[in-house]
Amino acid sequence: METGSSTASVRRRRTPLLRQLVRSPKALIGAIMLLVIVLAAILAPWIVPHDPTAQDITSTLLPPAWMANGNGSYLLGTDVLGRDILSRTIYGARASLLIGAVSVLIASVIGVTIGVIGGFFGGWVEDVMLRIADMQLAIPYILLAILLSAVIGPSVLTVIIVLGITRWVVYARITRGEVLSLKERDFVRAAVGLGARRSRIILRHLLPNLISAILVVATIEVSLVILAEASLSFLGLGVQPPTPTWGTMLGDGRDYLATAWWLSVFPGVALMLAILSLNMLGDWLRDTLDPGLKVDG
Amino acid sequence: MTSALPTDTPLVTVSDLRVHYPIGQRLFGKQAAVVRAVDGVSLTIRRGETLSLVGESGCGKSTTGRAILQLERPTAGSVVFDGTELTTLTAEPLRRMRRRMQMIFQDPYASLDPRMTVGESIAEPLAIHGLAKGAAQAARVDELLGLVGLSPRWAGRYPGEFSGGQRQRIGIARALAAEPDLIVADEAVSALDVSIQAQIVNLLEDLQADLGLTFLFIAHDLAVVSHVSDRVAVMYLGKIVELADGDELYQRPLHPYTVALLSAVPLPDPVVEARRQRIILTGDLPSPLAPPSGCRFRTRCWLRARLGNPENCVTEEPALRVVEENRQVACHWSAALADHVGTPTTSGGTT
Repeated sequence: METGSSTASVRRRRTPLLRQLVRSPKALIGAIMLLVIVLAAILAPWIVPHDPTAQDITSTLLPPAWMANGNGSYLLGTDVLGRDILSRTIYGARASLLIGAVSVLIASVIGVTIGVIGGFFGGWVEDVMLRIADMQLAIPYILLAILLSAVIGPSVLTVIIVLGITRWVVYARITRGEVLSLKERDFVRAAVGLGARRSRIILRHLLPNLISAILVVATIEVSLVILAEASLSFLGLGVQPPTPTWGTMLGDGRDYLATAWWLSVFPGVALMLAILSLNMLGDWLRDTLDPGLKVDG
Repeated sequence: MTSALPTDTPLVTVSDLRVHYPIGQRLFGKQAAVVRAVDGVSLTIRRGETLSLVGESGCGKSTTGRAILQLERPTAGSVVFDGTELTTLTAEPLRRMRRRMQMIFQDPYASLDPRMTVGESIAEPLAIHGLAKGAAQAARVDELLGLVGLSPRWAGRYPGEFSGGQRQRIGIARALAAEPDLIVADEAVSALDVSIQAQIVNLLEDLQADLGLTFLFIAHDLAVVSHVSDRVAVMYLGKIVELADGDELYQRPLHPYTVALLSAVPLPDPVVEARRQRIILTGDLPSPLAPPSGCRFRTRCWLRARLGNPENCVTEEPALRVVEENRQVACHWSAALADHVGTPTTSGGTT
């Protein structure tokens, strides 16, 4: 273990996060995968072999290059309109990752805030919070999406807003439950006894102890949100064609699963890899942030 | 310490403290039942003394401790701390008052935030009350760690890396950080190994001598308490049954419950220990939902059985009365107790 100097050591002794990451093979693989996907999304205009929206009527539904009838210029095949699957998958990462990351962030911030307040203050505040959560669950998010699309028009931003403000309930519920149990714990009572203000108790004691639970939910939610985007876009309420997203590609390919599997399999694999890498990284982050679980070596 | 009042006034005066918990649903304003966890406790804690509060599990001793610190708001009664009534204090003045009264918890595994380093935990009272910042804060943390016998080098570690005894020391360091007048130690050693218990008790005693602290020491074990207490209050079912100077209480208990508790303490002398007579109380503690009428201890009282079940134990609740200087006892028959203590008995409270 580290032998820090005796002064100014009140702050946490922390091995740089990056060095810890390199020590864990699972997290490292996850991080590299995610990095590749994110880089591909950012660098998409420079690395794609074709324009993702360019149609080629003469070569529709071409299978991947290594199969019979495959065309070397369309590595992963083409779709109904003859658009390059590889280029579309790479471009699809842009909208999908953006929507996944930003709406999960918005939803978790809203949910955790509401959950902490409800759980911590209890009483009627908690009752109101639970009723609002029930109401939120009772209103289909599609309805809100229709409303928003009508007002500001369908776009990536619309999808982010709709998913961001409708998917907070799960965070609020989990947070409230955790807060209810945390506030009965001795260390929270001890903080009250020390004379800590409520804000301090929430920020310094409750939130850091909530992170594990929230991270687990958030990593699952990213995948659900990416899929929810597909349904919204499928209904014409989200990202507009021809802009590719993984969700819309999956939806478009569904009708051709028996004849042209590559339409949905490749965006599906991309989605799976993104979520897998997120989960691997999320697991590691959760364990690393929990000092109780940290074992030497 | 900082008080303008004369030093012979008690630091804490508790009068008729009650903590009741309603349980069950209120239906049309009707209350189903009330748990009388603390039911009329009065005591004083003198400056610089150690007052021990003993009793079996569920007697309300921890609740009393928490109610004194206003961690549990009392249902009724008053707690005067150095001239200030705490029960009516609003949030902000109470919060500032908390600097002067601290608590040490029973379970050292639960009382430290697992996500704060030891240094951060100890520095918390300093930060909360704006007592020290930056380098001064770090220096004070080092000093406190040294004071409780831990290495200042460990300030950057997490509680998970320490043993129970070490964590309790950390908890003590945190309680000391703001230089409080009163420390309530709620079963501070009962979760620890016996060998560690002695270390912690000695540490507390040393700290008291060095820092002039006043302790309320809550315990279920008279053996532990005997080393540290100036005075001892014995609680039974939400009430104090006997309050006396430590030595007096040990040598000449005046309440049958105290006698029974003392008979359970093993003695270090093997010859005396072999002759030690145990009074084993039968039955469980009665429910605080519906305490027995009259004397609350009567259902398990061995003395009452020997006296032929006198009627006034059932009809009349014995008040905590002053029987001698510095001695209070709540028993109708405490005068008759002396005749029955020491007489051979295999078990009391039967029949």
